[in-house]
Amino acid sequence: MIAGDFENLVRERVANPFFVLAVAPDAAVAEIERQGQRLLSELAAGLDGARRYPTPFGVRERTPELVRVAIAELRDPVRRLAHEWWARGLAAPAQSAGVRPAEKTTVADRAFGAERLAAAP
Amino acid sequence: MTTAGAAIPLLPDARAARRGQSRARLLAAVRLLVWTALWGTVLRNIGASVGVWAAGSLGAAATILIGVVIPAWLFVVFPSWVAFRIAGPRGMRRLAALCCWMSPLVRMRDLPSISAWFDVTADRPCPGWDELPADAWTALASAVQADRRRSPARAAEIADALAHLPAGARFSWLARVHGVEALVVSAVARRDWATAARYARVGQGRLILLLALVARGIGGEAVPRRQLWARWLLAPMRRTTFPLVRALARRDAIAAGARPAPPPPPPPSAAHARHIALLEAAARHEEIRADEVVALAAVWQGAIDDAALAALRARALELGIRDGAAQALALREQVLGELALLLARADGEAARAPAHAFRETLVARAREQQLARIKDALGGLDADAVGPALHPLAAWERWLTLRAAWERAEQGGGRAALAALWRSTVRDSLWSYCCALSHQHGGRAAWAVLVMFDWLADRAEYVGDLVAVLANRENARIALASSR
Repeated sequence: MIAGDFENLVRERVANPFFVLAVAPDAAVAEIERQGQRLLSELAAGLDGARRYPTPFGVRERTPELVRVAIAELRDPVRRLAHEWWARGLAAPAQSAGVRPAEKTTVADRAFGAERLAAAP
Repeated sequence: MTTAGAAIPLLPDARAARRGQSRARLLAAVRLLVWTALWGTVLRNIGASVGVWAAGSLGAAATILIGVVIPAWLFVVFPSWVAFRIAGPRGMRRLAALCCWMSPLVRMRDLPSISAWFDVTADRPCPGWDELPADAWTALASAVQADRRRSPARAAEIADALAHLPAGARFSWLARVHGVEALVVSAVARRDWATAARYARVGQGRLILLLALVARGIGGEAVPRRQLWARWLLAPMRRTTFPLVRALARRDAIAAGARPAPPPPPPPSAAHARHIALLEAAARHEEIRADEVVALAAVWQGAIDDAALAALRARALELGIRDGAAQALALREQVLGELALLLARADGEAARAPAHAFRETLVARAREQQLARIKDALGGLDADAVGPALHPLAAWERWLTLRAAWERAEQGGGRAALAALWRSTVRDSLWSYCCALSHQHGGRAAWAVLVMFDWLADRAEYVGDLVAVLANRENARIALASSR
């Protein structure tokens, strides 16, 4: 099984369209479209700030493909309902629930480069 | 094929087998002769040179050191030290093989497997793999390969099986030290400390002890500084591990100086976040306890109760969804399905709690998934498909999938369902598979077959199948005799 299943589930949850587009779960359709187009323009212009988006699990990479998928997902009311529910549930209590940020720097990261150990005798 | 005592057949060509045995004995005798000649010469030269140089001025202790301790170290430890610490890591495969040949810690029959292990750890192709037996060295080589190919689940299954070998199944000291070390270092190199700690349980040795301690420290446990530095001092690779040990020691010193903060109160409802945290842990192959999943399910009960579903229905109406009630229920089903997936993957038995429909449904679904996984794994264990092309180690790894699925289900406590499954399919399929493997590969598969028969006997005991217990204990005994 099944680590792949879990990875897919996590990816799906973290790439919640409301996080990707950085809009509130109750945002209007027009606002979502406007924000999506703005992000696509910024990504096309290569703006640094547009390349990442914050989630309760740390900062993730934003791509034009991800933005287009997010816009399409939120156009479907049924899909939007589900994403809204997850986004509302995740937005507030994530930090207090002990969720580990994705890009947290550990002691090991700072002190013990992977390449150095792999190359050592 | 009968059920009892049928595992180890007479070899089809007894003459060829006898020829092989006498050749092995001859090689072992040659090896012993070379050792004796070489070490005799070395000892004589040391004695003569030191004796002439010292001219009778050495005391008793120095004489014992030079005449006994150093030669004994040179003879016993030095060849394997050169092989695994110098030649192997630098890619000097032939020198490593020669040093292993010279080491009294290495059995003659292990030499091809160790050479293959050197190839695999150096990421080189291993031309003679198909001819190798299944043993601890080839299993460790396969685990290292799986770990480096980002298949840590397979590597973890192998490590777990090696940690629970039956009495008599060979797992040499050198394999525990150097073989497992490569596995631990592979996990550490990608900063997967949880996996490194799990691998370290199988091994021995100074570096493994150090890395296990560091993994505990990075996992959040308090690590005594003195112990940390002592292990670092004793371990090899001190230059590489120094920054890590220093950073960990400093972190613990800072933590010890700070006033301990009171633990934060648990959030009243953080179901969504806890849910994804557990999914992330599962995706990273970390250990998940069944208790954690059940506790999460308890939190979810409040978050997807009737009031929450009513709010969802109301929101569905606002969004213009016609069948809002069905969509709300679908969300609840989705959560339940993911919880069942987590529970089926979790270790340990969930604590008994007051019966609740949500929990009961969850446990039943998880059990269904576990049983389905056992049936899937059984699909790969077809006795008729065992042929010369199926390497004994590959056959053993297929069994590992079944073993992992069965043991998870066993932890879940579904004894009655497992007993039914055992009698209907598992027993005969696996039993025939082990026998076919033994018939096909003989001594090359003896180690793997021993492990599998012993596991079969244990499982038979678990479900109360006395006939299978006795027959498979006997089969394991025969396999053990064949593996020696």
